Amino acid sequence: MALMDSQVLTIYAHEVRSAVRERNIVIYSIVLPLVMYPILLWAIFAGIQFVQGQTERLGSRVALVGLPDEHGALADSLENEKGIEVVPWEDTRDEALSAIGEGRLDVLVEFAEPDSNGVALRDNFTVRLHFNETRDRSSGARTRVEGVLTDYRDAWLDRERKVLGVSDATWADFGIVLENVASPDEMIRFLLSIMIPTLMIIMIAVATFYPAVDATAGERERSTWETMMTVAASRTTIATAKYLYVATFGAVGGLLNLTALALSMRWILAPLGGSTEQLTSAGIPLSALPVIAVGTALLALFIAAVMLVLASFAQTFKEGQSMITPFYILLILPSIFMQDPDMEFSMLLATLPILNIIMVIREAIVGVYHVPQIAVTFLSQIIFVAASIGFAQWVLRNEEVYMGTHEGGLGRFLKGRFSRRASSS
Amino acid sequence: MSTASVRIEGLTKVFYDDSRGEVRAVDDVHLECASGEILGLLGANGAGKTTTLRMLSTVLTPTGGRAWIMGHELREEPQDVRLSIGFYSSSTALYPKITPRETLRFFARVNRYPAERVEERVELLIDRFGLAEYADSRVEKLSSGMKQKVSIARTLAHDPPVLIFDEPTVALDVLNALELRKIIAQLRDDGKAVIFSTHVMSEAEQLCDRIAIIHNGRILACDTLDGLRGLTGKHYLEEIFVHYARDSQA
Amino acid sequence: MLASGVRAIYGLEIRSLLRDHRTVFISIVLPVVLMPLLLLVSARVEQGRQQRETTRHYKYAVVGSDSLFMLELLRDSVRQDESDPADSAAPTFETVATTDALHDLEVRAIEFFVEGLGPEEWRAFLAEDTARADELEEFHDTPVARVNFRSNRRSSSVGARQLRTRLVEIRRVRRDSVLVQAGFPIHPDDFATLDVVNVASEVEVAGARLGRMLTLFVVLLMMAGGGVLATDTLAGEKERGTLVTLLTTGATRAEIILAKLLAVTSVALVIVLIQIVNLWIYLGLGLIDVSSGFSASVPPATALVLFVLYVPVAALASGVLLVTSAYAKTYKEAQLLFMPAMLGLLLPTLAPFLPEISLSSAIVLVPLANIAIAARDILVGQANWLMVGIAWLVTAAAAAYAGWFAARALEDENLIAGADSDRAEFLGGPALFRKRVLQWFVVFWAVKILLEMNIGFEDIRWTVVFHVGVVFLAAPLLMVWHFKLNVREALALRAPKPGVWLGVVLGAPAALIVVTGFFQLVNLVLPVPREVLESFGQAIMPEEIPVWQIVILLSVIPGIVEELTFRGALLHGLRRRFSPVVLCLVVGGIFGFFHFQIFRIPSTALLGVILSAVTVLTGSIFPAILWHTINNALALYLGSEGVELAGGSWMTYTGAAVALGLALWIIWLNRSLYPDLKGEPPSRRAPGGSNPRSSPP
Repeated sequence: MALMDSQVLTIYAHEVRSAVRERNIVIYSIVLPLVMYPILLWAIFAGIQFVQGQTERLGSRVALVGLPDEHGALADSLENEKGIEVVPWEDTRDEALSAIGEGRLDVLVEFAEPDSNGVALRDNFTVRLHFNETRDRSSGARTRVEGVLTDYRDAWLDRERKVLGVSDATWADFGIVLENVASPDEMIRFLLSIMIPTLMIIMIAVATFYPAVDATAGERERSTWETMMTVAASRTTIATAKYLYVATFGAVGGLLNLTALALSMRWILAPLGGSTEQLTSAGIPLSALPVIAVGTALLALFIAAVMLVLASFAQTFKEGQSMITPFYILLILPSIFMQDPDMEFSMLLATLPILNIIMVIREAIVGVYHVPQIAVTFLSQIIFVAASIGFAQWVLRNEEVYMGTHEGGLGRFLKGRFSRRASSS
Repeated sequence: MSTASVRIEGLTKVFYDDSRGEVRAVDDVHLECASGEILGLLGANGAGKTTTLRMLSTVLTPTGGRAWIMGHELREEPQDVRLSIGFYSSSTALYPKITPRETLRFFARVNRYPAERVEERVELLIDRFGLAEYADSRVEKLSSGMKQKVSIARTLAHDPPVLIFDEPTVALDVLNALELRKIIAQLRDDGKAVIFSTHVMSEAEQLCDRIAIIHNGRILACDTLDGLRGLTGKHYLEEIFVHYARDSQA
Repeated sequence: MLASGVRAIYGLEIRSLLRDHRTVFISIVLPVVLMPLLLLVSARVEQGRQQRETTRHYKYAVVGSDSLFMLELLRDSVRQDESDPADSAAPTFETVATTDALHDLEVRAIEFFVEGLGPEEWRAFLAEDTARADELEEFHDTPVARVNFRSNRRSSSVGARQLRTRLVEIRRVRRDSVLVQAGFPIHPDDFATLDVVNVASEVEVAGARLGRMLTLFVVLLMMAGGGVLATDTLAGEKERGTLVTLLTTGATRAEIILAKLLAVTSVALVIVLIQIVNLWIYLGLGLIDVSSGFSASVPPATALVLFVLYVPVAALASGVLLVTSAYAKTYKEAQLLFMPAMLGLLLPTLAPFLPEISLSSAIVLVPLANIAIAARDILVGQANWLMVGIAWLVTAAAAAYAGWFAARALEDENLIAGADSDRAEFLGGPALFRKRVLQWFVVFWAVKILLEMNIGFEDIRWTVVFHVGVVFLAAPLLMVWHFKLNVREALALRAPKPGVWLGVVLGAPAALIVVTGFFQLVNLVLPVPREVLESFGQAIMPEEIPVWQIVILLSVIPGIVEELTFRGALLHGLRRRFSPVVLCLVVGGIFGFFHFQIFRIPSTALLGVILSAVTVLTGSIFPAILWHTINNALALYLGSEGVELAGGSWMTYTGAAVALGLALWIIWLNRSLYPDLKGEPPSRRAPGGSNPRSSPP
């Protein structure tokens, strides 16, 4: 088999060796997937704590207008609430409202007589709370004050019902409790399965990108391309070796990315209130690894094939980059459709390239295996990879492309090929 | 002040290198070149030719010594130096996306050639270098010979009195090189001071009014070809060069 | 005359860009087409999801001893649904019979199940879970509806929450009727009614929402658009060789940079304009119905002001891009630098997210952050124009500085002449270590975090040994091995002068107090949230561990290994890159960052700076090790004795600072400086690049 050819292995090893000595490749394919999540998550976490600290420091300045004397206790409970400062307000109500607008005051609590429906109850009142949504401090104050007001109201109502002889049990009626029966492990897997679709493709693409450009346009730029062409190996051998090398980096980048994300998951979970001590695994069940590995490899093989074809038209690194960019964007698009975590893995979806692999990986992470769908997925993806390799060979067979003298990208090449065929027939 | 267009006194360039320590790439070089004269800088690879010329063109700053171009000192008035020279080397490429005509126009303007005479100058150069045929196709589409011509033409865009060419013929085929040598000779006749470096002996023999032999950063000799012959008793420049190079090693 | 050169180069840049059709397509046309498309698609997807959620049919089960009661309750709820068929936007619920609800939930036969619990069952349940005791108070004599769901399934958590909302509503109605029946004089709806009024108009609220995001969005567009030209213009030119051509022409460095800055800035501005107009059109046509945040109606005058406001932002973004491009040797390297540059620029644009930040504060001096806040203020209609003007000037000055900085790179021979200065890469070893040490520490930092989050042992002592001992020791050893460093030199294993020890013994306790004081001081600017503060107070070690072990684990081991890492390998690697004073600050700062908690970073960094200074002065790692060990041991001891250093008076802190100064003076008197520092005579650097010798701290 051509893949096992010793020449292929020699060239493959050569490519990999040069790649691990090339900084950009190491950074984008290995270092970045590994360090990105810890750094990003740390930054987010630190930022949240920072803002939290800043917010807690800000007291809420509250003015009370028209508070009935019978309800003086309300003023006391407001003053006793941590973070609330009751400001004595001598000015007019309008002045208070403009102060709220300008941020000198956070909340105005305005008490009034109840309307005709409410007067039958002694001491009843209506209260109006003014705040300014454009200011965080005011919005925060609103939440605090509203809480105190609601508590006061509930306590008052409780007193009233006791007077009326409504028993505790009748009043409490029944309790309502939400209980999450999913374990922290399951939670991590769920979050991972949501995040994986986008990130996995992007990271495989990022990891594939540099090797792909470097193995083609980069070689031309360094003028090592012709050196390689003159060694005693067939072009298929060289192309196969290069292809395997590019795909390897894509797969490694993708898997590293998955690992780093899984390892960083505790962080995301901590603020969600989940107790991370109960976690048994890093998130991904071991049994899912074979499926994930195969899926990643197939994804990488496909992305690598397309990128190599696109980049092989480039003369320079920069050109290669811009030739690949549209494909890059195209790869990211499907992930938008995958935002719905409750998406069904239908047979139709199983035939769609890329999307199907993502579904398989996503389900494997949460521990669901739809065997027929997986089979169809792998089959269709293999056909897809084979087709793209075939296409790549067809394109690279062209001497102009192979030697890099062809002008323009894949689009122009195809146009040229087909118009030539059309004119000759 | 001497009347020479280019005057170099004790020019020195020292690099510091983590592994090799101090490297004296150019060491106490003294040279002069007058208007209407071609001075050849002859040396092997790594002899210090490129570094010397890069200093003259203000790309590199000398670590010692001084040099004047049209009376402007390198470090004191680098701006005036740049306005007085046309510099060409293997590392001075052309902008790929613009045409030769635009290239010439650009360099004339950026070198402060009087605006009202720019077009006239551009036409003159196109005519003189025979660029008319491809003056309006993009530089990236040109062959390397054509590019070379455009490159030389662009050094002349602002009609500078001093021209500095660093190995101008190195990548050219025989015919193109011949043509370039003609152009250089013509420039001398126009009264320019031309300094150019080469490691090709025959080129130096044919073209240079005076030849400076540089080796390991030092000028070993500087004279007319005949003068050098007299000094060494050898006839061929190659022999003369080897004579000096061996001498300095010993 | 300045203008003509600038104009020529500017024209060249723009012309070259426009003729590069592929680049124009990728960086301008594609985003213009794609951005609205992306918004459109993702808005539609989100809409569809929400619609599905609100109109979904949920299957669920009711189980438990009190299920009859629950079923009755819920039947009430279903009847409510039927009575209001017009309300099609509400979800519907269907009860399903089940024998094993948990299993059915797991296999998705149902979305959630309600467990009707009798009071005793509920009490028994809470007795096990002490953390939830407060839930008992109100419901100790009533049945409880427990809604079991799985948070790892969206339909389950959404459905369960919706059912809870419905149950709460049922309970409210029941309570109201109980009250009315018992003779409450008014309907409970009219009891102490609470109205919430927002004094800000809808436009203002939308403005505030848009204003927060706008600068971030704009800078992102600018970077994406200007990035292509900026990376290509200097780094690309170096690679193509046109930079030398340009530098030998009569154009001054200032002209070159100015022209390029103008070119990148105008491209950035044009792209932002195109995108905003583009978005406007889509919004106007109603093709995209994004959140109300985007529908803020911005009058033309405001739009014009905003545009003027963003001109220096574009210039600054372009300037920073040019700097990265100028300091990169190749196009590839410039690209590598692009991402950190972009993140660095985006960070300050997050300023409007800070609570209650006002332009009339120190923030007005922070470029970009000030414009971000000014933009928000303008959109809310509460701009302080004087401050907005200052913000504009500050950011413009920063842009000019960035330009000047880029121009300086054009004077740097190594950067212009390029490739041959990369000998370190070729040689490897110590020379390469100096170049790579920071990168290694970045990776080390990330790996350390990942390890800390994921590796723990049954016995906490082993956990500490692993994270403090093994990981920190492995890092310097790995670097020594990989870069083939001389162990003694790399880790500064030299004997200091004997007098130094006196300074250390005096300095360590003093520094502990000074650092504590500094922590208090920082706390004023960087307040610690309550929950974090509480977690500080918790003891790290269980009480049954003997004291000597704690001392070894938390003071001796960290004292040795952390010093070997930071004052050993890191300081060694950076010694020639920064002057001694900056070196201490950098090493200290990195040391601080390894303490992860943002509130601990400044104070630990201060300790790190002091320890670095001690190492630089003594040329030896050992005093720092002793100092660090004493520091930790003392902190542990005082903590266990309940002594609060934080409460000290300013007298205590001043006294400690004096003592620290004295200690450092003693060390200074007994100094034997760290060898081969930057700027140290005799300078082995190339003449012209030598730094004046900076005085040690």
